[in-house]
Amino acid sequence: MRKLLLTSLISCLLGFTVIAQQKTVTGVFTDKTDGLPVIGATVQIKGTATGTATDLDGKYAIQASPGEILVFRFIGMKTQEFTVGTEGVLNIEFELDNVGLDEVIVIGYGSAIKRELTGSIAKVETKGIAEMPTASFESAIQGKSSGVFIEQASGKLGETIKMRIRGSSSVSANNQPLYVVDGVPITTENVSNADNQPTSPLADLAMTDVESIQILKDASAAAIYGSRASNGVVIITTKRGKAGATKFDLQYTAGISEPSHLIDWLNADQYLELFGEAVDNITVDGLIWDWLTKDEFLEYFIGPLWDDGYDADWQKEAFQKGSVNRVNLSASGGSGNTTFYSGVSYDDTKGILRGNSMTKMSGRLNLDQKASEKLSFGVQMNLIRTEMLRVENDNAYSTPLQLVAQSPLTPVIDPETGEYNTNTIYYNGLISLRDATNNQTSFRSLANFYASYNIIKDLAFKSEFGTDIMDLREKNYWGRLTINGGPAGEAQNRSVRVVNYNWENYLTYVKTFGVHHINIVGGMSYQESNTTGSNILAKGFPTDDFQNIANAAEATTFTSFDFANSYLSYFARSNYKINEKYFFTLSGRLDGSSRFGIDNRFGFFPAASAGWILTQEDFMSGIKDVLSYLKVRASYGLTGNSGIPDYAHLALYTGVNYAGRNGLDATQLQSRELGWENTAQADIGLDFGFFKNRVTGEIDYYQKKTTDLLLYRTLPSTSGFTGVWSNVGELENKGLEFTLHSNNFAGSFVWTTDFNMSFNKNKIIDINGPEITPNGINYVIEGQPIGVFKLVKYAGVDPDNGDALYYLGPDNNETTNNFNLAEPQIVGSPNPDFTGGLSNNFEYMGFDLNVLISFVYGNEIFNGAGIYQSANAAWFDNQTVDQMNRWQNPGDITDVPQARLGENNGVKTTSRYLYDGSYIRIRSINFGYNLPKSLTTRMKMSSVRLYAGVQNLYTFTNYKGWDPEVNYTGAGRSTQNTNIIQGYDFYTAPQARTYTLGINLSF
Amino acid sequence: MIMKNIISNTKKLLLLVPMVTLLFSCTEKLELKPKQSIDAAVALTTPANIKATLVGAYLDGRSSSIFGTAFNEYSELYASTGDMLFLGTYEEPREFIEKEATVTNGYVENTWVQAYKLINTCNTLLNPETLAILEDEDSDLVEGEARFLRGWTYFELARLFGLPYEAGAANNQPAVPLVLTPTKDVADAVKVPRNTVAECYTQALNDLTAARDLLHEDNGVYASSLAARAILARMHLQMGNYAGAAAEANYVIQTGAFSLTNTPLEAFNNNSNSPEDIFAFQNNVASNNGWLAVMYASLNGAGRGDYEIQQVFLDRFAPSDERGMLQEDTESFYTIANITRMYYIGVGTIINSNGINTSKWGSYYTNIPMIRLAEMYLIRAEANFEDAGADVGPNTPTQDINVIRDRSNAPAYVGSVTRQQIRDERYLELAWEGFRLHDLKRWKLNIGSYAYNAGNLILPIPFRELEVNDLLVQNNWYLTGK
Repeated sequence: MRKLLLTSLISCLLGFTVIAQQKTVTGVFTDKTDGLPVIGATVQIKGTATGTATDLDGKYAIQASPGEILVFRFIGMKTQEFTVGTEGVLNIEFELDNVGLDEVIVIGYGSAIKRELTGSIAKVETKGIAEMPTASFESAIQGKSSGVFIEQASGKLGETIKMRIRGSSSVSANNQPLYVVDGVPITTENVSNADNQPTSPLADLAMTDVESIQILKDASAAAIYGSRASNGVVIITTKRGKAGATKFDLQYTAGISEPSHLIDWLNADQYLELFGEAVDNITVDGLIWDWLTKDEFLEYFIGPLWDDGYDADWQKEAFQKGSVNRVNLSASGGSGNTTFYSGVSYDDTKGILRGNSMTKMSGRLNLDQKASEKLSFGVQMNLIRTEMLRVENDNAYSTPLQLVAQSPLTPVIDPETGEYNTNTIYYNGLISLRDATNNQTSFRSLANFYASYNIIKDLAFKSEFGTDIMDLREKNYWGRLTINGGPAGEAQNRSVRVVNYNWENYLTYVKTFGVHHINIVGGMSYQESNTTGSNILAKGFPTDDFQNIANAAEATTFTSFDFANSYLSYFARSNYKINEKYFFTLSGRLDGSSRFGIDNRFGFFPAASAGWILTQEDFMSGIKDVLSYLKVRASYGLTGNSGIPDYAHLALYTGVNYAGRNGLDATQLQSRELGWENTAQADIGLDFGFFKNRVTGEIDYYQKKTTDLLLYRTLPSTSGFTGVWSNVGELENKGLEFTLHSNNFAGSFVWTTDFNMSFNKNKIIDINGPEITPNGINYVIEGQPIGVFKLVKYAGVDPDNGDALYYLGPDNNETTNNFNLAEPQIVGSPNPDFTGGLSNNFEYMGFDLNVLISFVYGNEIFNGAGIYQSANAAWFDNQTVDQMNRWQNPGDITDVPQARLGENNGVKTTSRYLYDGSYIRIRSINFGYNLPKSLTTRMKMSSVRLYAGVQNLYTFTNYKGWDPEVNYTGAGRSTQNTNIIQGYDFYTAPQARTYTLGINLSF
Repeated sequence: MIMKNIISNTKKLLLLVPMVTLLFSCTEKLELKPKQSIDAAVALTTPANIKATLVGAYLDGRSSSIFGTAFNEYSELYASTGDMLFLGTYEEPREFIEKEATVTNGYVENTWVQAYKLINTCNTLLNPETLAILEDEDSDLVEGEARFLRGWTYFELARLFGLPYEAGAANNQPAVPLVLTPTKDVADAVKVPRNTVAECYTQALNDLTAARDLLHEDNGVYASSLAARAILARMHLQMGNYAGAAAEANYVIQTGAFSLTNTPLEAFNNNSNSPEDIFAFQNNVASNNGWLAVMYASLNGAGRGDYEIQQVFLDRFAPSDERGMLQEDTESFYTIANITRMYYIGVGTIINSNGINTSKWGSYYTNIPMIRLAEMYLIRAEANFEDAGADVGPNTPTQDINVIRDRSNAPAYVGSVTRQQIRDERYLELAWEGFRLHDLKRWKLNIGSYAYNAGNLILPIPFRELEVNDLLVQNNWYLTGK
């Protein structure tokens, strides 16, 4: 087999072709709708460059051999293929290609044809995502869909990725969408250690298994998921088999990765110059030594090797050469009444940060059985093992990127011992990278069993039972020489099990009466999720060779957790269609949840929508050549949000211990009437196709108003409590979305362009209390978008004395050098004005090229580490090179204040560290080649594809940090803080630039 | 035929009825009860739970945001003019040592929040309905301990957030709000204005006096009558009520319930109370409440060494004084167990090694002494010295000071001690234990170039709190810079 493959490949490369008996094939192209000849359509022999075009009469003639395939293309028409047989004449009737309009879209509890949709649902192109070397599927669909803003927190593997569908609809409750995989709302909340950044359970999904991704954006589409639909719903289906011969698919992708951007830091000479000057400029009396010389001073702080001529590049030490190795093997097929899809995949990714890697193994079996004309049942099972080697959270000395804080004067390796230098300004994090392990392994089992029974001809009953069982274990060890592990080592065993099960039963009734067609779905669902686990930390190990808790001297932390939530829901939806022109949908869901107080336990979420295809009307027929398709849609509905902690409505005391006695501690005030957060959303949409659908697109305008916000309302803490969960306040999101698809060229050279752009304006209307800020940087302020930056505004440097200056306040442009006198003001927003993506796809002679560009515009980023990194040498952290522009002499005009060691000259949290976060990123370039059929047949393959790609090739941005796509997600953060703290950089790792090569064999 | 079909179809549909109705009856599935917490209504209804809530109050008190660390830090950082330096990167402590705190300083906010959490726990316990559930004896115990913790907390808050108490003055300068009733429901979480320093001191005195009278002299590691007396002595001293201070300190000393440890270092880093501890917050390996060690220590596996002691401070000690001795031959593997002197050269791997660090806070897992017998001797000495009346207790101020000096092998004073010697002794003995700022203010001494009552030497009302409670007024310096 391998030999055959090899010879085939060689023959392909040598351009070896087969000469066969040729003949002339002729014919006429006509348009099926009007019978007129089609001019300029192309005919091409598949897999070759040989081709021709139709003349003014729609006629063509081409030389071809029997068995070869002729491809007939014309823009806006369905491409057709015919195998050359004995006949010499092939007349072609072109049909209008309703590009995507007849596509099947999976909606909740059923599916629909795109043309008939009345709500706003985006189907994301999944072609090629299996070739992408991204660790989680969200990153593979970034920039591909309007209204969907995806932001990776950092270049670390497997961490939670922010997805906002039509903006943030909540302040304190969850803003991430609901994910439904094969009908089961899956577990997406981070359950890993609160001491580190959150990880995403979504990273477990194997992208090769994914058949389709649909994003339900408006209320009409999402309301069927009721209480959890305010943030949109992402519906993922996995591949199913088709009856026929078993088809095997083997794919291998390999790649290397590197950081997409590095920052310029001071070298040794610059460092000495700047810090020497900073020592000279010390002005604070009595607080810093007057009795040390400058050299003694530097030696004291930087260490004895400070003047030995070292010039260390600490940034380099933080990174490693990353790699990707991924193998997928799938088989699908079926016979008679049984179809199956099975796939195994192995994915080994080494991150760009030293010590960061992820290994994923996944196996899936999807089986569908038709037991009788009436009864069918099936199962989808997915077993996954994901192992991550993690690095410490961004706000830890031991995290790789904090190495940049070290002085270039201190070498990485201590010349005396040959080991990592311990005489550094800060703890040398390389010791942790050597002596600490941080291993997170999760086993995941996603399973879904269903049975469907056609009770009578038009009425079917379906029952689905789905489970999502996640078992996550963290095993960490910090060696005795590390910052966390001294003096004798510390180990952690943490385990969490999330058992989430979902049972749904529903009836579907479909009936056509003449021109009327109805489709009604109604049923119930019950979902329960239980999280249990334990956490033990122990210290005192004989040597670092022992790393298990059993060998520890004493346990320092031992705890358990056990919490649950449940949802009981009843839902119904009816779709009504008249004459293929008018479409109506009504839906509703009654949802109850354990998370709410008994008085407000149930919520009702109705929605209504309508669509009208104008181009089906006679009065539009006149302009059909120009405007080939036009549909207007409108929808209005209510959705809910319940993404708050379990038991948020109860007054709670938790068990504690002090001095060996058990105690109780009040943790939460009661909120008896706590109920749903309601979002009312109106959407008006226009779907259009021009020039025989050569250009198609969608425009949507929406308005989302969220009331009864689930707000962790701030209380005067003199009450003993800082807040309480309440339903107060409101916010809104308004936005505009464009999607365009254009077939620029068809024929032997195919060029299509997809473009999407989204504008979303978020506004907090009322929070019934004071401004909310978790960090004194990002705020929730009435009249402003969520997370707006409110800071003292930096006014640059006083040219006379080098003092940092601040504006006195929002309405006062006078400046002061006294930070305390300056009133903070709104200086920016982490929410972009618009985001989007541009994808160009080219195909020629079996080659294809896709270039995806995504862009984000109008947001700001605050660098929380700026007070250390760009602090005009206020402390010994290495500085960004722009700090060399510090003020030195009276009259100097600069925005970097005079360097004064130990003094806070402009090194406060101010707009000095706020930057424009807009960017345009060449997110991916993928190049592929499908071997000609003639060759693959000889290789006994149905297809052979070779591909190469690069991710994050280049980013155009003014942001000075590592990466403008950034958000330090923090450790142990509440949902509210995660929602508000956006656009915040804190030693946060850049994205990887990854180059890949791969091959895909189908046989 | 049609009819038959309808009947047959109806029959089939009937099959569905049990399927569907089965699912309409599980509303109780939404009644999920927490498994690791209990409802407040349950927590305060049984004597056992009420006593457990009292235990929780000590945990609140031990928090590093208040008694566990922050009260100490505010004092030592604000008071430092070169004897101790801050070498860390945290912005909050830097603001204190530079004496320019900002209203958004996170430490200050945490202190405020945590102090009132403790006060609310005390208020919950002091609610007459709660106390009524207890037997008389238990009721006295719970009330006494809760009033001890509340009174002491108000004393600390008043002197951190309010301008100094001036003996003989009206003391109408604002301190902190006095909240004396529990927050049972969100409706109780009302806005409250600041009370004056005089009102806060009065409340604290009332609480501590009640605690003194309700509690037994021995109450294990929990607050006792003697602990209440000791804090009363401390308060009276702060208020310049020397007779009161001497009386309470003398009472505590004369019970003989406590004795000085053999060496000064033995009073620290203990897993159980030392004979000198009148009250200590308890720590063990599982509680890890070691921010004092995080900031002061620089040892293997303990501490960042951010608070570095300077040689000029050690120069204040007599050469033989064990309280000022420096251990120089430290090795990188040293933990507090290897430290034999009161100061050592730091060896920590975190940051800031090679400086001088105090041994008082050398471990994350040991008790935090809050009131030591040595302080009682110092109070009695100073109060007797300052008070015109006859000496309270058997010793002269000189004898009391020499008791402290003898223990540390410092040469005894001959003749009568001076005011300066008494004050110096207090600094040498109680350094880095949270006394210095309040002593300097009490003595009306300048801190660097700032007068004892300068507005920047008190904490700002946290920004967060001002935002949510418009009845609060910010301290003047934070509004005007004056």
